[in-house]
Amino acid sequence: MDVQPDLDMRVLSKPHCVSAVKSAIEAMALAMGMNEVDGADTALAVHEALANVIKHGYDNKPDQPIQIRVSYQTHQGRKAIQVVIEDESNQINLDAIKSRSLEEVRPGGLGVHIIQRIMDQVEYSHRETGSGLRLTISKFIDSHPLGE
Amino acid sequence: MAEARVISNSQQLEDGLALSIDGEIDLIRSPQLRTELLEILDTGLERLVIDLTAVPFMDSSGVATLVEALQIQRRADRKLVLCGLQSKVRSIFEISRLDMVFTITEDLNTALEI
Repeated sequence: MDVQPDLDMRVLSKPHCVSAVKSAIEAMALAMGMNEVDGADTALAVHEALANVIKHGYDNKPDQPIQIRVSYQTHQGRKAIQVVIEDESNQINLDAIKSRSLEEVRPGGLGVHIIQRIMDQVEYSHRETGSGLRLTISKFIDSHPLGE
Repeated sequence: MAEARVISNSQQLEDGLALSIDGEIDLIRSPQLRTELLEILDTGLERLVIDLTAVPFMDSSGVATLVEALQIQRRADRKLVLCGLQSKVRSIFEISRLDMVFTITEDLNTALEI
């Protein structure tokens, strides 16, 4: 990312850090002009992404780093909030990251689906350092809440 | 140190139990909710009503816990009803399309009539 982010957070892979980041994201989204429903959904998407990093990337180890950078962007004339989440986990095959079918009702495996359903853009990539993943998600600030 | 309980209140019904849950249900508290729910379900309740009026936020781990509870009830041909979903909680159920799977009512009184 060439441009300085509006908000740059570095946290450890602890559940209470996820809660704190979620609150910060929601506050930032609303401050950027997003409506309440979209702001809450964006915060949920980031929460799910961080939970996935902790559970799948770091195998629930509580002392690993996660970087979260939030920026105000303009895509094709539309304002958007962009969140980039980077970790230092083992680099996995990106094709393995996919949402599951919702036809089967079972616990678990909903995180990726939730992120993809809420956000307007979702991209997983390998960090250039050789370790870790980068998740780049963005949501238009002027979109309609889901279901409308 | 024992974890603080997530289920804040319970009301005996003729054929089961109505529970109230308080606070956010996420990766911090969903394991404790799971423990408490499994203990309760182990007693074999014909009907379980879960009041989420005091739950302002739930993530997919919380949803997964409720799905597991629903599966346990369904396997035994028993009922589980959710009620009082706040907007953020309703949103995650709709996004996951679980609002079509669970029986969900606006409030506890309506849930008790089912």
